[in-house]
Amino acid sequence: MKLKRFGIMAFIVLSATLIGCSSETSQSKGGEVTIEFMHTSVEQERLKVVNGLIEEFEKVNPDINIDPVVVEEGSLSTKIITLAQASELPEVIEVGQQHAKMLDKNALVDTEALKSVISDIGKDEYFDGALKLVRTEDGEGFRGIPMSGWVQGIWYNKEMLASKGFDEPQNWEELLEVAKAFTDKANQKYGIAMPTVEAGMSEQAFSQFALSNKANILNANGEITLNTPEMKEALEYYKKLSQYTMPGSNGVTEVRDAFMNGTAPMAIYSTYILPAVYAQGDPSNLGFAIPKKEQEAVFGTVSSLTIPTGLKEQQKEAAQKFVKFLSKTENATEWILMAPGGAQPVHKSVVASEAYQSNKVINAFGDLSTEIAESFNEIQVFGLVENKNFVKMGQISSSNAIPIMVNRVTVGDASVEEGINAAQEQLEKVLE
Amino acid sequence: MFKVKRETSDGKLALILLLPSTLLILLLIGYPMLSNFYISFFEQPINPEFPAEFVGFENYIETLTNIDFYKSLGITLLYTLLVVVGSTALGLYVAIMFNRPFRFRKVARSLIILSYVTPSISLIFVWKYMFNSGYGIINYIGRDILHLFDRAPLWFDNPTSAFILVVLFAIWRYFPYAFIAFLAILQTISPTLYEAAEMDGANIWQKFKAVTLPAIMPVMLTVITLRTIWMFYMFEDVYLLTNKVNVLGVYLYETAFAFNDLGKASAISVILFLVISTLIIAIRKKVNLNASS
Repeated sequence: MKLKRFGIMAFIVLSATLIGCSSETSQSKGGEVTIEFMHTSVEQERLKVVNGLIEEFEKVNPDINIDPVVVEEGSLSTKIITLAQASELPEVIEVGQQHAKMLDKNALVDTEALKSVISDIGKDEYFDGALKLVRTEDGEGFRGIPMSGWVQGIWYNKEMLASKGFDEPQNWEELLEVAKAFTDKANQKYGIAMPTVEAGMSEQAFSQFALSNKANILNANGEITLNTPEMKEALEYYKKLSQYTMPGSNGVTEVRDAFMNGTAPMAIYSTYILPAVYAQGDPSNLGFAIPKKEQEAVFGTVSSLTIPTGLKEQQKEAAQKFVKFLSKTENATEWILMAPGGAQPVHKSVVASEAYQSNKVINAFGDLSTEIAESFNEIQVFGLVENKNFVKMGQISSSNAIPIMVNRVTVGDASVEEGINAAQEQLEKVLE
Repeated sequence: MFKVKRETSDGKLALILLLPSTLLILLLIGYPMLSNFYISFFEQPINPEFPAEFVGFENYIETLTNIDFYKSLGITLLYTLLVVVGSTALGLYVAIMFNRPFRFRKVARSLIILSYVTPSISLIFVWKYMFNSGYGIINYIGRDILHLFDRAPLWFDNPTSAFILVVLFAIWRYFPYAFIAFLAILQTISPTLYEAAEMDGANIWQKFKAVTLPAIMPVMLTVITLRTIWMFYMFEDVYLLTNKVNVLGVYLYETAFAFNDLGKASAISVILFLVISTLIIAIRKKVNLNASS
């Protein structure tokens, strides 16, 4: 009898423990609502800023509790997919373009709720390029509320270029000429540090050249247009340019290191090179160029806040309130200045704000900061055709077909024709 | 009579004490396993609000008729075999070397286990820096000092050298686990056994075969079993080091999280479970047989 009672007790204790261990998610308690906010600011300094903003919000909205869920960027895909499967997506999620497209494709984005937030904030508050990137395929709704962004281009060391009589390279030919002039493989000096790795960075860098040659990966009907003369020409050029970069698969680390340690006077990289230049180099010596052929094409991306579908009204309202709060000029400025220079403002009012203008890092780069901010309006990306932001681009990027093609052609022995045909085949299978 | 009564009540108590663990195992392992098995027969959308489509054995058939799956399986089996043999042998060798007193033994022991306790990501970055074609120390020594090659080989871009490097990385990273386990069991072997063997005229190899091996066999079996399971499912080390070695962990990850094909990924994991179970049973039988003989 005693043992029976002991058994029951053991079971109750275990059950209570398990219930206690289960996460407390988004529930209403006595008129209060708790919502989860998943973000990727894992670094201590950034975490402090985000937590500070949450505290501020809770102070002015005592009936809403924000439960932060911090996730490392690398494991965001895994988290989002598993949480979506378990119907446990947080009420507010910080996502990049690819994740936003994946969620949208699976009808997991409350585009109406986001549209209402954008309409409250005002479309004019955002740079056109930023809004273009978060628009849904039909152009009616939004996949996220832009918070920050970055643009990619060619960064160059003004002094090094001038030492050989070069000015900013304006087009494909000039870029090739400068890269060739600085390459001395015997002494491990290269003209340009550019991505060739089988990863997203290569797709981003290559897309900039392809788009400047008016070659997109999809046409207005959403059909794959990889095998076109313009695309081949762009890949041929990328291959040619890669003769003047470091051997092997170059990714984020290799490109940044080569530029920062003077191995190469030019690098294809995002604005996230600015904090490194500020810390170790001379900001006034940094130049920013955009490769030009038929047109100028800037690759850029935005990080946005999204609200998933299926929320209760109270949670949805709380999520909208929180997103609006973070989008206020002073809060968005704080958000951007977590990584000054790297994260670029997507709100016009942030660029004009005193806090942003007086930031020492932003100031150090002088006119370059304005040049970068303005380039946000020139953003072009694969899959964005005539303002139609194709959701299937998420699948194309996930398949890694473009980086594999770039790597095969630049690092491997494949010809442009072979690379394009293999990628075309892979993409047709993916989009079947 | 009294004895029998006591045994009965002990059994009940044991069952009750086991109950929480059993429930936990059922909850944490049993349920996900069954759920995974169930999903493997469906085309599973990411959005749970959408209905999952029953596809029968389609996910299994697609996987088992895909040449890439077999390539990946072959690479994984070879990778697992080389790493398990390499890390176990190295761990045992170093443990035997450390099973005797010498100066700074404690410090040396701590240094040995460093590679095991350091987070993977830091070690991977160190290896990538070491093999960097521009400023990597391996290329500096090979090219600039020893002049073994004129241009830095593309270590992580060539599938063969990339495979060799991921195997070496894993052996180096995981041998301390075997080392700790073997050192612990070696310290329990009585020196009198070695003395007796020596009196019988046994040489080093004979002493190892007659005294050491039987004594460490249970530990060796555990080390081999666990390391086989861990290496078979290896993902992060390989994924972060190179794109040229497509082990099953990477294949599974890409199916689930790059292509979002959850049903197929579940089918792959069921197949992997069957492969690894067969492998483990075979290893246990083989090692047990050897032990008894």
